Amino acid sequence: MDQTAETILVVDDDREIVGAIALALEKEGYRVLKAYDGMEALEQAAHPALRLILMDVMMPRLDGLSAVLRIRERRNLPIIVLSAKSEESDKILGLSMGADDYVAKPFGMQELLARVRSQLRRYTHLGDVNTLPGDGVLVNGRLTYDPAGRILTADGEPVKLTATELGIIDLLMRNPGRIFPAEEIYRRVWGEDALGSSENTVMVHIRRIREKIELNPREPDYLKVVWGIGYKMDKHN
Amino acid sequence: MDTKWTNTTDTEKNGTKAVPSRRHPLRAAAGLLSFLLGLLLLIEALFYFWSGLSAPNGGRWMWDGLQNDYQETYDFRQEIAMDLQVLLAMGTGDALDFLWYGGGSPAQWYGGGSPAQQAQRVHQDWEKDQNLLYSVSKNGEVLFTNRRELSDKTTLDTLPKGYNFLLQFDGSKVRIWKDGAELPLYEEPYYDFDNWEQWYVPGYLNFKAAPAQAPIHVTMAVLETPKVFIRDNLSPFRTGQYNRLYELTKVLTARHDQILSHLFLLGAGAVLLAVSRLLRSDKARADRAMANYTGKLWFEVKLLLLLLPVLLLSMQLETRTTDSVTLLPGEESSVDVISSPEAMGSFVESRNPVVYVDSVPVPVSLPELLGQIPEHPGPVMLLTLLWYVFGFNDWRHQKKPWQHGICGMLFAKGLKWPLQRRMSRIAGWMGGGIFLLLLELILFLLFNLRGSLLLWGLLLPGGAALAVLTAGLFRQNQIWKDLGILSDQIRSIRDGDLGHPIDLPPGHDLCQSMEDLNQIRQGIRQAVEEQIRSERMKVELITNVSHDLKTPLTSIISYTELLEQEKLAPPAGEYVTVLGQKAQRLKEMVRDVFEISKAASGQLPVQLERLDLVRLLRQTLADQEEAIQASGLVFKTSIPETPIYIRGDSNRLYRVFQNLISNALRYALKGSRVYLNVEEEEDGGVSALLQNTSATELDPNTDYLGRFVRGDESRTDGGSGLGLSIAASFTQVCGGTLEVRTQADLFTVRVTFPVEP
Repeated sequence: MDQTAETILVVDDDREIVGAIALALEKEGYRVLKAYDGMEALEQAAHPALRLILMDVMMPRLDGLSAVLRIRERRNLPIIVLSAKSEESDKILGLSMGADDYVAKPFGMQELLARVRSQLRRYTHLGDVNTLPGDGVLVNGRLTYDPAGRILTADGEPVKLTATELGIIDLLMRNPGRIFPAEEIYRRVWGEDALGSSENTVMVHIRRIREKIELNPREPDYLKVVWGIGYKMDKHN
Repeated sequence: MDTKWTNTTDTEKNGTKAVPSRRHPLRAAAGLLSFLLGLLLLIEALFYFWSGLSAPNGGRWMWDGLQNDYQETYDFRQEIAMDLQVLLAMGTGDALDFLWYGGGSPAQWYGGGSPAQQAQRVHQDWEKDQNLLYSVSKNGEVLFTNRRELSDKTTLDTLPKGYNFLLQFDGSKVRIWKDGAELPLYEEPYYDFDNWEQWYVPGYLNFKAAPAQAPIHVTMAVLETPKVFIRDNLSPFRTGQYNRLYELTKVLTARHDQILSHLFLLGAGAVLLAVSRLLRSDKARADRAMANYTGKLWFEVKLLLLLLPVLLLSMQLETRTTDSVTLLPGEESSVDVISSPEAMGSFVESRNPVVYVDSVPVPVSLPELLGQIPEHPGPVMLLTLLWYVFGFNDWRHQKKPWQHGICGMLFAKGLKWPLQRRMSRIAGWMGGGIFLLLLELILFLLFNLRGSLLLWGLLLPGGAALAVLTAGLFRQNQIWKDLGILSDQIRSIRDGDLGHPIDLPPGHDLCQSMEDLNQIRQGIRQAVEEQIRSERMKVELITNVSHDLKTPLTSIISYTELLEQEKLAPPAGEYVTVLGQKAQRLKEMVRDVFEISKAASGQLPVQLERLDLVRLLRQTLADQEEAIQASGLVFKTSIPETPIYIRGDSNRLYRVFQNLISNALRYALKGSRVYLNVEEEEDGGVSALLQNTSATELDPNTDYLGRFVRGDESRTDGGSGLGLSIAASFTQVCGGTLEVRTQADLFTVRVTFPVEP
């Protein structure tokens, strides 16, 4: 096994799932450690080469969220929670317990791999702790935006955006969490008053940006539509 | 076909039956009114004739009234006979005291002075009344006359014009001529006092002329049609005896009219009764209708109503007669007048002068009392009317009339529940108290009991009635208070408070009801707890099942994806693709089932916020733009430019319209148009209307909101069959309604929300 390869711990009481994930990760060139309950996960988490943990929630002996809490006491590394619970509240609970990301079961392997890559890139390229960004640089989770250079990076990689897309990103990154109606976006980005089709136009651009920045464009984490009200950039840590 | 025809004829028959021209309410009223009016008229007329005929000489009185010729009446004969007596007395010089037959005293009339003076006064009174001519002579010498040419020689031929009646007394016998013929007198040799056909004139074997009358000749002539001769009462003695025969004709005419009018009433009453007999079926309806109303009255009230006219009648009947005795100075013989033994005891006798004026009440016997009834038709008519309405007719139609009233309440046998029976009994006691008090009031007012011993006798039942009323009121007050508590408790249970039972003291009437209510409350609480527990279990079950489904599904999807990356022999690769698609579909179905189960058990979390329905629709359309383009369907939208705000959960409502649009995309006829309209409702709501033409035939009996229902049962690709069901559930949790309507192949979904101002 390649000793330099990044090591990932996969924890799930379902051996087949662990096996499938391990297969996919190893194909990508990662080293994989396996655990089948929370206690085993705690033991394996001490491995020095460990870079990331994929953790199931409902497990015998020690459940995933408690394990996350215990691991967090000792190690600072990205943890992605896998759960059959898909409610918004479950997701928020998982994230507040110290998880970095949350993937609902059943998941697509490609999405999972994308999330793994994203987390690893953030931790290895930017350091274990968020390196202090330059002056005026806006950070929102995986996304970093430099208004001066009008550069958006996702997981440290620059995203290629058109001028209009950059205009929308500029507006939304400067005001994370705030909901903008289509007309306002149109007025501020295009610089002219909204026509009847502004909703459609804005929606088309939003979708294109999602394709470029979201891990799963069908279920976006950042660029969200607030149905019946407008669009917003969700705040992340 | 056959049944159809018979049906029509049936309805026609019913139609003709349904128009009862003979059952008009006016006919019913006419039947009843003619019966009652006829009855009353008959009573009035019969009582008139009864009282007329049953009075002494009533038959004669009535016979007189029916005569056309006043000279044929008994009253006339009596008048003439009396006048002859007076004239004879004037001739013989006897006292005229017997002329006194009325109130006052003889002295005021002709008494006082000598017989000659009396005779002179009578003559003065009679002289000018030329209705009756007279001439009195003694031994051929005329003593009194009011017409010179009249004498004992006068015959019918020499009578003055207009006079048709002539009487001659020749000292022993009387002869009378009338209208040219002599009347047959003395047909019977004896005078019979009871036979009013006979003339009361001297000349019978038992009623001879007195010897003193032998030299007297009296001639009397009477005018055929009496007139008014004396216009003012000039008599110094105020006898009032002027135009006597004229007055007699007037009295007779009035009596005549009265008899005729009562005969008419008799006939009219009979005719009305006959009419009511003809309308008897209508009258029966009116009777029933009336009984319906009278049946609502308390039995005791009816009794009072029936007693009222009896009391009125008894007040009008004279239960005692009064003998009034007047004795005058110097008339010693007057003692003979006193005949009744009761009066004797209180009689004070003294000689010259005797002054005694007294009135002594004498009780009247029952037959005498009943004999007075015909003289009072008014109360009898009222009595008849009330007895018919509240007595006879009411009791004929009510099976047990006494059950509806105070007694009915007191005994309350028909009531099913003990509480009701107890309350009825209280009401009965109180009603009885009121009844007793009213009865005492009536007795007091009717018989004027002030100062009577009876008044003291009434105090005891009156006090008892008041005590019962007071007790009843206190009991009622307690019931009302308890009722307030009870209804408060019911309200609090309605409002969901299941924790605070209140008990009433054991003696209270509503104690049992309160206990029952507390048990109901206990039952509801248990049921609610049971339900909450089962709901919780249901949700847990859903979550567990969902988890148990998702875990193997994760493996399936993961390994399928891994398989897809392998280089597989030609058919195997296609199989893996199919596996992948089906696994994805299974994933969606699991998600949908989970959501709909949560929504159905009310566990779906929603974040309601104010949002713009118009924008929501535009965003959803824009979001689905690619799918719409790919489907080849044309979306025709009619959405207003201005926002319409509603309250809802942004993400859930997106799912609603996303589901509706994808439903249309999936099942609409290729190349057809889909219409999306927003309409404002009249009742302050707004609805989004999505219409599309179905590719397959729509079954009007299908419930499209049901779970796992799809437009085409044979289709295997596409949705879970839960799309519309989820849309309906989500709409509902956001406070809206979703309804599906199909018309031929047109499929319409209407989503309605109340508008937020």
